[in-house]
Amino acid sequence: MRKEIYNLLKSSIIFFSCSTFAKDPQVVIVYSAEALGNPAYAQVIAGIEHMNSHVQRIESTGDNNNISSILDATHADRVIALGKGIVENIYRTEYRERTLAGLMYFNPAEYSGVGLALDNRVLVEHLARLLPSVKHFFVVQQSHFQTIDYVPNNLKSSAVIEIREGVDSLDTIRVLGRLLDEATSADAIFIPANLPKNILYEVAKVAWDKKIILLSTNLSHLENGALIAAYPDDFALGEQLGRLVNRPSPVYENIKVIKFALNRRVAQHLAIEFDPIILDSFALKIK
Amino acid sequence: MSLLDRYNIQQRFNLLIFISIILASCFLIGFMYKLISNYINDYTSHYWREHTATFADSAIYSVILGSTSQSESVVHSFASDKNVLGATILNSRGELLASYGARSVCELNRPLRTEEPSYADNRDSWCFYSPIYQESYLGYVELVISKAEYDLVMKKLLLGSILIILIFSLFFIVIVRRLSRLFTSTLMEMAMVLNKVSLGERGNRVHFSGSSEINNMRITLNDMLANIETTETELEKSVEERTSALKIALESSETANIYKAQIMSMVSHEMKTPLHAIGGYLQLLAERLPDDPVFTENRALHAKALVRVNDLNTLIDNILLHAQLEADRYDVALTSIAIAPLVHACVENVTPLLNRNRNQLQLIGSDTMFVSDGEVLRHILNNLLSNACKFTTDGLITLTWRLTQAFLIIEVADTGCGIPAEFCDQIFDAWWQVDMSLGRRYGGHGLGLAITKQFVQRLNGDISVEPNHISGTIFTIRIPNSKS
Repeated sequence: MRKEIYNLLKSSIIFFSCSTFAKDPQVVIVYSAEALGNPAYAQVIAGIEHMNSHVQRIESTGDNNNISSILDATHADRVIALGKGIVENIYRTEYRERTLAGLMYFNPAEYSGVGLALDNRVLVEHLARLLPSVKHFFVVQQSHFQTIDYVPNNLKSSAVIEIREGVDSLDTIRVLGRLLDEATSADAIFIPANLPKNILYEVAKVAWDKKIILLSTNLSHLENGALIAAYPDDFALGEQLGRLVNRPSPVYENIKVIKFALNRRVAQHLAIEFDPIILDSFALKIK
Repeated sequence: MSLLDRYNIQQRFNLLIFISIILASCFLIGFMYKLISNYINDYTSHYWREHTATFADSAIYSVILGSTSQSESVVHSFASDKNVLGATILNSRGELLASYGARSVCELNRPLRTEEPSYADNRDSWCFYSPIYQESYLGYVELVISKAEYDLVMKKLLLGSILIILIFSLFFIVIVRRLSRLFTSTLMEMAMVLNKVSLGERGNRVHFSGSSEINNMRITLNDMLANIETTETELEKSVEERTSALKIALESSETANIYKAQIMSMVSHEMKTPLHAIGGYLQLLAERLPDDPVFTENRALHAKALVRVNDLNTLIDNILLHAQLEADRYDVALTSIAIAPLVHACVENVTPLLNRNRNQLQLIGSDTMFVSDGEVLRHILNNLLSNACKFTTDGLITLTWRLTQAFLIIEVADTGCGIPAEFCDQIFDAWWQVDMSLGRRYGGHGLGLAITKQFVQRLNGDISVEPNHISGTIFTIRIPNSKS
């Protein structure tokens, strides 16, 4: 009997202990109140909440000094900080280790979380499907502003992707200029996401004349001569962040789910025709 | 002023307005031209500054690449504008990347700092500079813009302004002319009618009309003109009547003159001839009377009769002389005469009268020569001395003469009964005497002083009378010295 009581108590202790340890971590999403106007934020938050039902939202109103005390009050186990300003602020507090960054470009050395840079493997895979005639993709970007993460191994596609980087914006423009000189109509060039509009106009003019395909990771470039713009799926980004919450160690991931937008007028100029199924896969099509 | 006098009030008004409009137009054209010129200049230069900035923006890509071909393409696209004389792209070291057209015009006015937008204003062109920035200074562009089109626009604008203002001025002048005619027509019509009235034309009336005041003025003026004409008519009638009366009087006067001449002729011939005969016969009878005391009384009567004949003869002579002077038929003959002998002769002539009233005569004056009519002067002195002797008894008669630069002045002063002051103005009238009664003490016919005055006037002199400070009178004669 004593043994039975002992076993019962032991089982109860084990049961309660297990239930305590199995409790979901308290996840807090911190973002700027001003950023709510941006629909990307809403999508990302929705994605996070889709993966974690018990998350708490904190809208920062700009007073960043008491961000630590706010987080203390919420007993946050994991923090998802959206936007560069918010991330930088929280990384100055003791929540640094518990924070995942989102909706900003960064590299693994800087922050944990999901960076906005696209995964080249995913990208090439999609592009090979969208533009099967293009065998050579050039990515021109600034070395300190990478919008496409280049992972050389495990490429499933037969298409070649080549990264060309400039040390600063002027150098990047020069790299792009030289590339435009040597590229042919069978090549596609990813122009830098931060390419100024006036330069973009000139680049687009040259590309238009030479019928070179311009691609971009900046959606606004679609209206200025880019054929296809690749951009993150914000909801999927949120889900990605939501999944990372459960990982105990710091981790970096790039965007896995990419959306594509098409400029049909450029496509018409370049005489590129898409199958209806392919065409339907574009999240956005403009004329 | 004399130039303006040539124009009437309407013309002057029009001229004034015309000059004002011309001056105002000139000022307006100048002001507008300056204003618009400044505005267009600012606008144009602003436009081209912006265009140069666009040029610089377009050149950024080619400058970053350092591509000459790209730069030339940009330069050519901007130089294709007909107003662009030249376009140039230079890098930050001032090295030429591409150039098209004229550059030399801007060489002299090139700015020291090309890192800022600037422009140089030349006579025929503008040189615009705009830096090329893309994070840092990359170089600059130069755009040479012709002013030909700007000048053409300004010329057209100036001509257009002049034309518009000219049309406006002409329109304004026409309006002003009409208004001035409206405003001054009343005055002009009044002036015209009054001018005609002043020239003697009759029946002119004003016909202007307008407001009640103008109509009242027309009625009043026409009434006034009618009154003037009525008055004139009456006056003319009156003058005509007076003229008629004067004609009659003149005719009567001429008849009287004829009668007078006939009387004078009769007196001179028909009266003096028998009087001389009577005098001669009386003289012969007196001489034939025996030298017997029995005929003493007869002799005395003869003597009295002769004296009366002489008096009558003198009276007739004076009447004839007076008539001759009145009819302006007495001519003076100027000769050089010695005054002292003339005075002494006159004194000798009046000595009997002087002695009869026991008067003393004092002569004061030096001998001097004087150009005058001796006979007339003698008459004057005789008359004055005779009068002095006649009206002075036991007194002193002083005859003074002196010759000044301008006049011969003769004074005859007596200590006689004198002339009352109230009669001094009348004593020179013919047939007038202080005592005009029949029982008067002194004889005479009142012709002496009248003849004296007329003689003095013949010699262009004047005669005056004043009371002597003791008693009696002083006659003063001033005869101008013909030498002076």
